[in-house]
Amino acid sequence: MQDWIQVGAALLAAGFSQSVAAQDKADPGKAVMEEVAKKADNESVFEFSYSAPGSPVLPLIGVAGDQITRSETLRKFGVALLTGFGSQQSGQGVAIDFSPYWLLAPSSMSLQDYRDPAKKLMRIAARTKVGLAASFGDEAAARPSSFVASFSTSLLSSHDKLYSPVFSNCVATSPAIPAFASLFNQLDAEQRNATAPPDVDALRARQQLLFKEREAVINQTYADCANKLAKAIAAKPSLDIGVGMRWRGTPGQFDQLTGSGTILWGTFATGVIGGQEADAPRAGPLARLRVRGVVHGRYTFKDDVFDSKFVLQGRRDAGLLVAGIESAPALDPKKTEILRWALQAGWNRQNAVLATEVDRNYWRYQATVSLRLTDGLWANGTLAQVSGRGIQSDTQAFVTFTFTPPGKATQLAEYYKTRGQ
Amino acid sequence: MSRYAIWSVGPGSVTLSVKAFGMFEPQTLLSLLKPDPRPSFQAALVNGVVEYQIDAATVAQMRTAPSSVQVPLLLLQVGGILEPGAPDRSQWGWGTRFMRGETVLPCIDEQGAPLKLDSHGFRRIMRTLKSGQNGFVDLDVITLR
Repeated sequence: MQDWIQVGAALLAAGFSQSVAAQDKADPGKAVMEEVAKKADNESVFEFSYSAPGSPVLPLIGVAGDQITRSETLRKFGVALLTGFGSQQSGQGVAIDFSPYWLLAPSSMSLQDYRDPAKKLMRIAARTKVGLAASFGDEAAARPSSFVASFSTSLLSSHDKLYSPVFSNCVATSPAIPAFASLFNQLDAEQRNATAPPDVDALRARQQLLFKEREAVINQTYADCANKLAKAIAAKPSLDIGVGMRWRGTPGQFDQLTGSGTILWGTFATGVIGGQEADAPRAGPLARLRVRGVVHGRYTFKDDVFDSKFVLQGRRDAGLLVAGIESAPALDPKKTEILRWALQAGWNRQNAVLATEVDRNYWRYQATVSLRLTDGLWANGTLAQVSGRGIQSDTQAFVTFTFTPPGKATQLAEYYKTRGQ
Repeated sequence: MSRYAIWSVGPGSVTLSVKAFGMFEPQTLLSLLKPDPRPSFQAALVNGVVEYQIDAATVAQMRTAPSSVQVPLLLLQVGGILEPGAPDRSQWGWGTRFMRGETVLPCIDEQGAPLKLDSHGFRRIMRTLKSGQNGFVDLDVITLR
């Protein structure tokens, strides 16, 4: 048994772009990569997850902190594919994801249109995402350049932020509604005694000024209700499915890529099992324990296998089935989530390709605890054990730190500060 | 352009429908800018569209007054908070539609040129949001002719 500690820390978005910026090789794909990297820095393109576990930075530094693929961020999926299925090697890559439906849908669609009960298929289409990821590879490390295209969707509306009425209901009973009403009434009252027809531009400027006076209340409402929505959705069951295809080529180049594996996956998460709300009477020490179950299946077809000199040796099929339980956040938006944990057991099967290996058939057990240190910083501890046929039994423990990008961290700090007032 | 007129209104009550374009629940207030006493318009939510009934007396008052110094104007204020998960966080908008019965009334600008309505008879106005902005307000000033 080998015990060792890995300590890693990185910045999510900057990590992607800096790794690309470090590439000096002239390459036809470089301009494209630089453009993608530039977009990766734009927070409006990416929906950064505030959650610490499952950060896409983990595969980048060679640590697989989670065995389960979820569609909440396809960037993670793409980067995980780039770094190799089950590989401990890290790779430099960028990834982007988008919804084809929203690219084509009119921006004038209303919330009521979207929530039309008859439009289930439309909502599934809206939740379907295409993910693209690319890596330059590394010639010195015999790692090829890679391009990944992935396609996934969330089948259940219960995990659809726009379909859920939680945010709307929260806003309807919030201080924001009286704030809007008082704004409208004040402007109206000011015009009541006007002796001349109103100048529309002046009227609008006055309205914007009155809005500024109430913007803090409205932003506070948004933050509280968005938080309530996020927690409510996390408590619902979800079923995500996806497919990814990978192409590989000479390190540093993207002009002669060849097909190199296809992956199919599905993840089902139960709703929250057990747990009591803050105002419920305590029934015992476990009464407030909020957990959910997760099942994940993944199959990889014809994953390229290279030797140390980057010579293709064959293609490997691999299957993975993981079951686990994990903590779920409290629904109370006033409660800050400071601790997360997850227990997973995964069965892996990989057929042998290299002459020196045999078919692998093994289990991997993993326990992860994440502790929120500050608004933008989480510490993650993982203990993992593998045992079975075709591999050497091993136990590993590693600690990682995950940062939220500074801009977001500032917003989070402001949020927590104002929320306590 | 937020100042416009509804043309060929004719006598009798009309219905103003206000529809949100974008992912938000609309907050609205319709008022008549003229000396007291002023009518109070009650909003009703019908299939996600806010509806106001403007009675025949108010319509008559507005139609006969355009030549006076103090023109009666409808002030429509619209606002909202964008939903989390909205795919386009840079735009929001609203549409207004005046109807008598089943007939959509035409809309003109201050120079009398017709304004474009969508296929459902709504005059659309789209606004751009600043980055990080979650709440918003704007207004329309409307006359009836």
